[in-house]
Amino acid sequence: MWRRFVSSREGMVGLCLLLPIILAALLAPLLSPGDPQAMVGPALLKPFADAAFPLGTDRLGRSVLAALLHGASASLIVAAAAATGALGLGTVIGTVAGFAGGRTDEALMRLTEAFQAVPGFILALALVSVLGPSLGSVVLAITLSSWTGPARVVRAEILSLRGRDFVDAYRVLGMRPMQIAFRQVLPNALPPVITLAAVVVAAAILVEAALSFLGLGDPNRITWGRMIAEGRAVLRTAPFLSAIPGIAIIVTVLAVNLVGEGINEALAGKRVAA
Amino acid sequence: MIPVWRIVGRRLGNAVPVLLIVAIGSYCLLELAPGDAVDAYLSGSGGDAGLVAQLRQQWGLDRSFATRLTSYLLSLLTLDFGWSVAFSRPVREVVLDRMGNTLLLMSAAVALSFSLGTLLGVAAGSRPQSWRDRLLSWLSLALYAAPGFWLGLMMIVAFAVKLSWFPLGGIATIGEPRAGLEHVLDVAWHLVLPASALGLVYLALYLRLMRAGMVEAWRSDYVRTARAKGLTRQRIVWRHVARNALLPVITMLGLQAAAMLGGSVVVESVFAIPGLGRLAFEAVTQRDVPLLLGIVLAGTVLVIVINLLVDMAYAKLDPRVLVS
Amino acid sequence: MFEREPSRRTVLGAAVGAAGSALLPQFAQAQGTVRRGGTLVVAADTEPRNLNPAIVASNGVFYVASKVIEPLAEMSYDGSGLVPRLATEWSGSADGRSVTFKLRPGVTWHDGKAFSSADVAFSALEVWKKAQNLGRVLFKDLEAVETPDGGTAIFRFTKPTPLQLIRNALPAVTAVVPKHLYEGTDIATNPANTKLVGTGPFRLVEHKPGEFYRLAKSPTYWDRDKPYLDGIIYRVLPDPGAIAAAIEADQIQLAAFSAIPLSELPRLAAIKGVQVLHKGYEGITYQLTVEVNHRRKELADVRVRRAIAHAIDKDFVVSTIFRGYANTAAGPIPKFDKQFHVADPALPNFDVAKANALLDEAGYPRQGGAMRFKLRLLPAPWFEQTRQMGDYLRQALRVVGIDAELVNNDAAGHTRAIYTDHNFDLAIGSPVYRNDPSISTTILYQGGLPAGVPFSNQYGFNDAAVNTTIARAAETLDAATRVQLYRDFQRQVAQSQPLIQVAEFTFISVIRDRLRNVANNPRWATSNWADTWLSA
Repeated sequence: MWRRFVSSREGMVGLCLLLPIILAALLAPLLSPGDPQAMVGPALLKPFADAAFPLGTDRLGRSVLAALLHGASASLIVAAAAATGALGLGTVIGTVAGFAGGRTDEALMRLTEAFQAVPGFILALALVSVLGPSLGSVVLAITLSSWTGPARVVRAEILSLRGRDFVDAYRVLGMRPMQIAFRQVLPNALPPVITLAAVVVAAAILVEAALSFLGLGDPNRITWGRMIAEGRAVLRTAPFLSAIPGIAIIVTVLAVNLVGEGINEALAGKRVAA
Repeated sequence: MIPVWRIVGRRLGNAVPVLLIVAIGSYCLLELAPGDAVDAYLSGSGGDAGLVAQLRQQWGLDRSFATRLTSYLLSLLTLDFGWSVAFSRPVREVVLDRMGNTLLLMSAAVALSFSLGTLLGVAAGSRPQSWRDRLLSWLSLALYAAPGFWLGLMMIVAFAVKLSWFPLGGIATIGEPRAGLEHVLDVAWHLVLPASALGLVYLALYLRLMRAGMVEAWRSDYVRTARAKGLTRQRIVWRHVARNALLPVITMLGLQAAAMLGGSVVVESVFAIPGLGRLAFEAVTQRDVPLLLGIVLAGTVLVIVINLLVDMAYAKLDPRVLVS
Repeated sequence: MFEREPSRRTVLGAAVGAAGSALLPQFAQAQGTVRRGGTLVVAADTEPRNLNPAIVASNGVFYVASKVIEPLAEMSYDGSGLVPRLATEWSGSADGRSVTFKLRPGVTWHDGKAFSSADVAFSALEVWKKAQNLGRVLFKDLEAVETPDGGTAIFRFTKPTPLQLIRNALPAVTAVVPKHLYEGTDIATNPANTKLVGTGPFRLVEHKPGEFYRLAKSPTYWDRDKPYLDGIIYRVLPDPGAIAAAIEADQIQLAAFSAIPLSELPRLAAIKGVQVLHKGYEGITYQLTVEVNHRRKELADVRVRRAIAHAIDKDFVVSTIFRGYANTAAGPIPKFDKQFHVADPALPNFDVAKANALLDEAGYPRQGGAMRFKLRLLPAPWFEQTRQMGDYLRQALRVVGIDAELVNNDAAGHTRAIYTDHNFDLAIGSPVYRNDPSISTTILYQGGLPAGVPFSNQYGFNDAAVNTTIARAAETLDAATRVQLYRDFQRQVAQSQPLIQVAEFTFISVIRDRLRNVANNPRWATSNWADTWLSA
């Protein structure tokens, strides 16, 4: 499977882009020590004007490079946590719905449709507002607005696998339905969900940026969306403040999408065999 | 073959519990929020203890949660969505006022991304693996990764500030009331940048669909056979591609529409367009519960309607595809 | 052209308000002859829910409504500080229990009915006293308004009320509404709250929510040859970038209330045809304040509070957060109010070493460089500067070893958290000084208030000496004694720093220079613009 991934050009390019970003995020405290929100220099310094501040400074004199590096970790942590939550929740619900069938399935499907029908971002907006802006509430908000996709995919897979012989065999052996569902059937249903993971992560990064942009991010952390929002006030005199974090977001999301394609191609072979 | 009206009936039947879940869920959610509409109102002007109590009582905020929820649900049955405390008008009015602008923006964005996307997809797919194809694919991937609001800001800098080709925001030029064609053109001119910011993100999806369709068409036996029969290359490819791509494209349109309603929140903010998206944000900051619920319900209804239309289009085009 | 440092200080150095105020130097502008006609287009960045200034005495409402509905008197730079509007004279009785207003004759409402003392009596008793945010406090002792004739209104109070206080409050608190439209109705939901009917130079013709307000000249205005303008359009533009661009393109001629971010101002000032004015708002001064929750053990200690004050570099705040368009604060009463203000030497200066020493002394040492204790800091969300101050204060406190965690809320959540739930340790607020300490300043220090009242002492601070001074001053009729008492109040709080004032700021207007007679009174943007005109 790894070989198939490596042979996928998109996947490799994506990985090459993503790894440095992850590294930068992990090493941010080393590369740019201290508090990224400390006011260390003159305000609104242009990039490349001063060696001490390679990417310039913002309106309060904070270093753009420091903010960029530390912002990377905030964005990636939120995205990873939210994607895990969405995939986890979606998988559980999808499995229960697919396997239990009947009334449970109907009820869960209505619930899924309800969450799907509400415009996702507006749901996230309301959630963060209620819970108060913080990394935790942003993660929860994104989770609750993205779990329906994985849930549907898992349910569809479970439904198609449910009628297979091996399931009957386990039932005859006396295994409980939920045990069969989660231990035996689900692992076979996972490949399409894993492909979905990249999409969810990419979407999470973008939603987090949008929430921060609207002022609903964690105020104790610098995130890329917040950097864009703060740059908006000086868009005409210092557009670089909004441009730079935006480019960072594009590169990261692009990388994640490409990695997702690579995974897709890698898994495509496997699915056919099953 | 399942008749169309049965599909519609079943979808609408499902819609009712869905809307109920959404309405109750949203109401409960907003109850949990710290601060209510009176707090939002008073943060602008202040007031003494007596005024606070007076306003709470006037706005019915001193009743119990269960009472308020029940009365809200009951009034929904009569299509009365309540009173917006932020705007001092009925919620229905406020939402309908702004809905037009959002629908306009969304349609423009969809039209833009669809037309440009399919065009570029065809261009890419007709010469696969060429420079043109590679460039377009990468461009579309980059666009898909861009945050809509950031694109909007960069467009403002480039096209509205530096080049002054387009206005900085708003839906129309104020002051001189325009009519007829002049008004339509004025609005269109104002919508170019926001529709682009909103729509370009989805351009990639159509591009890839079309490209895949084109590439597949080249390879297919059907096309080869048709060529052998003497039909021109272009015509064959077009017909084949159009037929195959139609269904996925319609699916895409449906999915895009739902996502765009959320995306419109930030784009409308950036371009100062008076639409539902920005209204939702204002409702949250003002703790205007009836208004936010009105928007959530309106958005949900919109998504349900769009899904319904997509299903109906499916039914007409390819009944085999319909699964319950 | 915008003038740099020295002039700004001079401009702000004038006093406004009660008798004895210094005169403000007139802004040198080539006047030319007045040109009648033309429509002024201005930017409005909010749309208030209730447009009736008699009920909601706030700047957002006045900005639009003060052109339609007039008060009894308006602020002025000259003479006594007030000019007559609907009232031509006012005088107080010796016992402080009544104030007599002589009203202007020949005034009609926009719907044609005649204006009389009955309207003033109704507005005072039914609207200002019962429903208005400021009026409820100011007129709580108003028991009756006699109207011996159509041109006289006598306000009778149950307790002696200083005339000085009433005078200072006239421009903001006394918007008169028509009795014949409000009598017998539910005032809060009366449609005239959005379809305004007043006596002012302009009528509200149209409001398209989310887009614009349109005002047109009233042909029946009592000042016969005014207004000069044919109409005013308020374009709803919530985005600061759009406002800046609109000014540049001459699509709007005025952006008031610092709608354009401070960082854009130098660029705009350099453009031909655009002027940046830091004038005309002296009557609406805001104070950037650090609010302290005294219920927190650490913060109840005066040494800790003074240490926090010592950790704040006010000059940095003024120069970086306000880009120089503000003054450092020196106590609860702004410096420009020369009558009441006194600067006490006990006020803490910027001294990080002293801050550290005080914190050590108070018993919160830094164990090997660790933080001393943790606080929750809630910056008010409604001004960019309050939010930035939150960011700055967090850093400044870290320097002296206090770990401040920022908590962001929107306006409703913030108001609830601070003023009802008391769920904060420090907060950044922006109270308004309304030209008399007893209107909205002493209420921030007065002890024993019930919870849930916004912009009042919800801080758990209750000092008997301060309470006594405030109470006495509220009842003192003699102007000189009153001033003395408020000076005592300032000295009392200078040492104990229950609240920490950091900066005093007003607003900036950006105008096209075609617009004339701008900023010619201390609350120009919220006054009636009858004498504003546009040159060709």
